[in-house]
Amino acid sequence: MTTLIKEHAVEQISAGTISKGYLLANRIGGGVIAGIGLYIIQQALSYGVLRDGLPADGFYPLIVGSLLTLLGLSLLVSAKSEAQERGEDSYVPERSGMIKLAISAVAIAGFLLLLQPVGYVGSMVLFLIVVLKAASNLRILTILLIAVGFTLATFYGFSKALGVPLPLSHLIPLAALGF
Amino acid sequence: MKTTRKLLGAAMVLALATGATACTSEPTSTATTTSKYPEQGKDMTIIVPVDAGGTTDNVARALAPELAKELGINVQVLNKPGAAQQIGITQLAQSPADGYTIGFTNLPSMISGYANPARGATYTRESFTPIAGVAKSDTVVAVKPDSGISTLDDLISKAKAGTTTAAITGGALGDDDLILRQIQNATGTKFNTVPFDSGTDKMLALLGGRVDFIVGSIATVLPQVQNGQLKMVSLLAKEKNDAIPDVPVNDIGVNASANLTLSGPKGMPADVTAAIEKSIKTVLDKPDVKAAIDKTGSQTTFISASDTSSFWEEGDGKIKELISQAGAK
Amino acid sequence: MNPIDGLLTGFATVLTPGNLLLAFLGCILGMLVGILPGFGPAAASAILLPVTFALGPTGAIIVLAAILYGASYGGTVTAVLLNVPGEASSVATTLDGYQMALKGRAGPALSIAAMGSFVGCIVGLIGFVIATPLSKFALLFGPPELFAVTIFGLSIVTGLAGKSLRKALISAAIGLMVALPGLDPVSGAPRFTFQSPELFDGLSFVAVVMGLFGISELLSTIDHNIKSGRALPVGKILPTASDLKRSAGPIGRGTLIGFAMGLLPGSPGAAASFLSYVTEKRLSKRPDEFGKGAVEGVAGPETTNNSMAISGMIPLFALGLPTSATTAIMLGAFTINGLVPGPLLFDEHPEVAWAIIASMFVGNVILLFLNIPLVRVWVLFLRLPYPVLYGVVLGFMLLGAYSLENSIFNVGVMLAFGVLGYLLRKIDVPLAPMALTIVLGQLMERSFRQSLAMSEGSPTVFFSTPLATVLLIIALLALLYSGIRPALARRTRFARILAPKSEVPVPANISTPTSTDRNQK
Repeated sequence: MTTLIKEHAVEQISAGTISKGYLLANRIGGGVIAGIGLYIIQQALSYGVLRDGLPADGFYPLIVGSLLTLLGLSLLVSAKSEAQERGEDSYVPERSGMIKLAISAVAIAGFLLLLQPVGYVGSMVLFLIVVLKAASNLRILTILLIAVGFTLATFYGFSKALGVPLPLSHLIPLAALGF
Repeated sequence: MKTTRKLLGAAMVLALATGATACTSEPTSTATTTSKYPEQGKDMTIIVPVDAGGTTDNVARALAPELAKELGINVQVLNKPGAAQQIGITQLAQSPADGYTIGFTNLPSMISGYANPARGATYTRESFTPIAGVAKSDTVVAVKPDSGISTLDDLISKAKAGTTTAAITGGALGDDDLILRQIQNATGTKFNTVPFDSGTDKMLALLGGRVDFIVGSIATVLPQVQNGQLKMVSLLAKEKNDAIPDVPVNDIGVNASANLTLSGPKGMPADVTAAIEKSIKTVLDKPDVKAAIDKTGSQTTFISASDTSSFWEEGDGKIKELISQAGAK
Repeated sequence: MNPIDGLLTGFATVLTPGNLLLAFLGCILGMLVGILPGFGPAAASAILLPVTFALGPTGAIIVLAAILYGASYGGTVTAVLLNVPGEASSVATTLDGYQMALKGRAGPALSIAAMGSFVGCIVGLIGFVIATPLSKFALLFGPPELFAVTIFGLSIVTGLAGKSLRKALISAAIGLMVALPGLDPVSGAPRFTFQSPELFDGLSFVAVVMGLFGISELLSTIDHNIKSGRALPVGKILPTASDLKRSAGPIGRGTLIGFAMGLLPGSPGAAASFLSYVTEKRLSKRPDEFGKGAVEGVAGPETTNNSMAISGMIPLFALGLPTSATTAIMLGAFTINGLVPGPLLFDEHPEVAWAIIASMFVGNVILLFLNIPLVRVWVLFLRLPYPVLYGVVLGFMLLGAYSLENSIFNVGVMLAFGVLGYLLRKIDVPLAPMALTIVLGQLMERSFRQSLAMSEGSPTVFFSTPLATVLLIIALLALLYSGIRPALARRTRFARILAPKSEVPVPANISTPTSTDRNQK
């Protein structure tokens, strides 16, 4: 594991050498941006660019779309020279990190889906348990404590003190508790 | 290895939770029709389709605690701003019609939301059960004191002589634009309009002399009028308003009065509607509630469910006609 | 009543136990809502408005004003510690504030921010007192003038560039794109809304920047193997003498920038603090340090925010016109209590007007003395194991985004922009230009088309007043200069590289963070 990090780190420092993955990422980025630009141009034309001699709905989007297309293409073409100047954020994520990201994504999706039916308290506790379990090596009891403590504190803080009504549960046991 | 197991575990927890809600959430949402209203322990939510701090919100927050006392249940105010009330009103239309979710459907401004097909609203007049009107807000025409315009006639003749510009909010076919179109139809004039996105910007445009006049609710122009920066030249209502006795009612038959109206989703049981309507009437009769609402700049006015309904029909017809005229041009 | 007498009577009213307590409570509450990402001063004061019925006009406005300026102190905390801008105006602070925190200099960053905020507010208040006639200034700015201001704003973009100018421009163009969805400002027809009414008002700026900066930072930290914590050195709390010396200029200039921008109608907070940031970067002898933890990059924007929070109240007091959501609620508090803000207020109720102004002096002193010791508390957050921080901050942000408009839609917006920000960082596209152009984009199109609507299509409208003409010329020159400048800079850099011993000089006390630092745990 440590060797992996070291190798990874070495790849970071040696700016100036071109990484193939980074070059590809830049090209894809340029391509996608140009594509979106073209879509905006097409929409802008459908909204109409001029009406009675005045700029109409599509006038400004047309400018923005053209800018995006030009800049996207320019990144696509000059990706190689761009790839020589790498910043510090452009490292390749690690496998274990990717797994945490995936679990976080699932947990967030679950939170959003459950928020209306289960209510804020239930879904936030569940969300925190999943994320903390995945991201840390804390004991499950500690995790439970943090999850329940955070959720109840924010629930009462927001819905009672700040007057922001948070979604309540449709589940009978939770609803009976006032959550 | 360990991470894969974690992933599995997390997925199982989620799956269990989703399964559990699927089983239990259904009975609770349908089992509300039989019992008597209001049921103890339930909360009422008033959806306010605009940002916190506006007139409607202030009225809602003045009303909520008193209504809670009257009904004997908790009453919450939920701000759901966005898309000129459309977001909040959509949510109201989709809420269960059990009397525990009601909301503000301000007339006539909410009508232009569904009458204008470009806005793609998913509700119509039939999506709601009117409950009561709680306050009335009149619209005036305001100009700068040094503009040389002192009556509505002055303004009309100026418009006939050359370009006369109004600052509006709400864009084309929004509230202000529809009012101007009524004046144009009644007098055969044509105004140039400059759209702004907030009442403040509209006011700045007038105070800065960039436009000739505005139309707006009394509440929005009163501070500047009292400071002598603006004057009101005409009241766009059917009858005089006691708050501004000096401002003449327009003689061209334009009525742009607005009502702050509470409604529920369609299909609300008649007894539930009547129970809420009655509580609102009682609450509005209390002097301190009336005073609190009047201070927001509108006039506390109880309007019964049936009167609200006919006011709605009238506005519905008027606005649909204005919008189809605009489309035909 | 002349200002001096007015202030003296004002202080006499404020320095009573009851009013002092109100100012104190308002400050605390403001700071707390400033720290909660998403939940801003406008929402807090709207909810408090009914409570303030009971306090009378003076008490009510004291509390509401305290929430407003208290929040601009609090917004800094999450920006510095977590890269999460809690409000629109603290986006620029994240750029160097968070980098300082990563280097164990969170304490000095927060202390400097508190001092800058204090100076910004106090000088802003003095301006408030002597320059109330200046309020007519706001009336000089119609659509053509504002259009010129937005063009000037575009010239800031290149100042926010990192290594690659092209990528900064890409970021700026994406920002203009992000501002596109919504109803057309003139015709009212939906554009790029994909049939969803949630997009009719455009995307919520706060949700977007919370995602772009905050979520993307969380993702970039968790995507490599951090298990036990990031063990950031907490270091000293108080700024060093050199920090103070370097901050003096930015604080002074930040005050002026904030004060002037606050007087403009509809001037967006984020643009003003970016203007301060870029001004400092361009004036600095060490522009290379910006984006890597330059104290000037915190001092300037933070001062700007607070100075703007104060001068933003001038149009309300002097003209009765609220130029922000919070001042709109203060207007509500005035009218509910039967008072009319505007010139009349100082004539008819001078005791109320001056008491409120005096309370702001007092409140800022309270905030300064509250904030400096609290810095010690805030930096304790950094001691939390990173995985715990990750989970809890993510939870806070989900809640904060929800509370913006009580809707899940904004949570989705925040997450989507979090992912976008994460991906863009991987190809080194800087995010700050995007945040700036999201703000400017809408304003630019609106003011452009409003101007043409005023003149019924004649482009002469952009030169219709002397102010518009002057501003537009300045804006175009600034844009031209900002276009030429990077080319000049590039030439000198090549010259340096070609010269023998061509290392870019890095001052000894600042070490460039590389991903090796971040990967070590």
